[in-house]
Amino acid sequence: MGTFNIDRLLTWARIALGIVFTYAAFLKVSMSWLTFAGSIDAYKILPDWAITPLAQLLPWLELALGLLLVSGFAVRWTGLAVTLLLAGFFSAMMQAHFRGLDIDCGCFGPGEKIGANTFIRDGALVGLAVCVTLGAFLRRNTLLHRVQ
Amino acid sequence: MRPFFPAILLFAATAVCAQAKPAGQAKPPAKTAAAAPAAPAFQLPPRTVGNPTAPITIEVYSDFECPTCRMLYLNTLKPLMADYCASGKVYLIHHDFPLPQHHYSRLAALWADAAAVTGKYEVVADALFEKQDSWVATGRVAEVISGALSPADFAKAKAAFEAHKSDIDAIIGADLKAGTDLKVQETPTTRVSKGSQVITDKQGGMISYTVLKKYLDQQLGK
Repeated sequence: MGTFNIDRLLTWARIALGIVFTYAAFLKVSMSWLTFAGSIDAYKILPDWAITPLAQLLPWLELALGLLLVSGFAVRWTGLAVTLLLAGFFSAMMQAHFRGLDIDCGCFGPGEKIGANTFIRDGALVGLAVCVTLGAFLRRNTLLHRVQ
Repeated sequence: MRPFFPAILLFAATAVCAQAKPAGQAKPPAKTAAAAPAAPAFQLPPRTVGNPTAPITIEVYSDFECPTCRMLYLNTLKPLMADYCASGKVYLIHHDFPLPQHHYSRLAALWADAAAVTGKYEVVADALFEKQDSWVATGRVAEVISGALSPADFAKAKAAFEAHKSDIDAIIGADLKAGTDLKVQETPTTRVSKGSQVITDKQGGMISYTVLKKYLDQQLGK
């Protein structure tokens, strides 16, 4: 009974995370990539040559990961990729904050400054992604043990 | 069975919505700086660079006192003017958007616009951004203008400033209103149009020349 509830909770968490990723990707895909390039540029982490390809590819990667999460296909590796990506976004926001950069987060399109709200939201998403990924790996191990 | 169905539904919805909401908007851009609403009787020469029939139009809402506007002007707009405006590929329109928290930005905009009567708007804008640190600290905007122009041009600009200060201020007000209507929230804000189609609605903040160049080349190549 307890396992069933945790499984169900993790399934909902995975779907919720997938929807958030798909939504964020949709907002970026539907606007000009120049706008997203500007958001990436504002973080002052990457060299100019890396910004354009990233601005063009990242929204599609987010979309693919979001859809994979919702579908439940390859959850362990998708979850791992999402966790690493979210941890990367979170680190980028942290460094921008500590460098005193007053910039847009760029998470869901323009117009949202980095601040307490973005840290809480993205921190919660990182936590959710870690739970989904760990859950998927642990569940796989449990199933393997049962088969053996 | 893998629950693919929700993902397929979500993908279909995303694809349909992405098609239904194109990046561009049909609203044509103002082709001259004076095309803002409620333009007053006194007309300044357009604060534009390049050919109005250029395939791409870039409108920039900026504030002379804002550090990011300085970076955008010196590092991105200057090479843009030399490479794309001079070759007739891009038409650049300057819009004043002095922010209320900046003490001297409206005064700087007044002087820069007054200097437009001499046809030296870009020279003055360049000087104001280059020497931003000095006049922002002292408020001595006129000194920067006189240093950037010849004595004869400075006399003309000063005459325009003194005789038409309220008219120029109204033009700045019209620019501000145009920006506010577009929901400009920060400076600099850049808007890119291709023909009558807005292809980048609002790009807030700095954008490096390398990135902008790649974007423009992609758009011009289409």
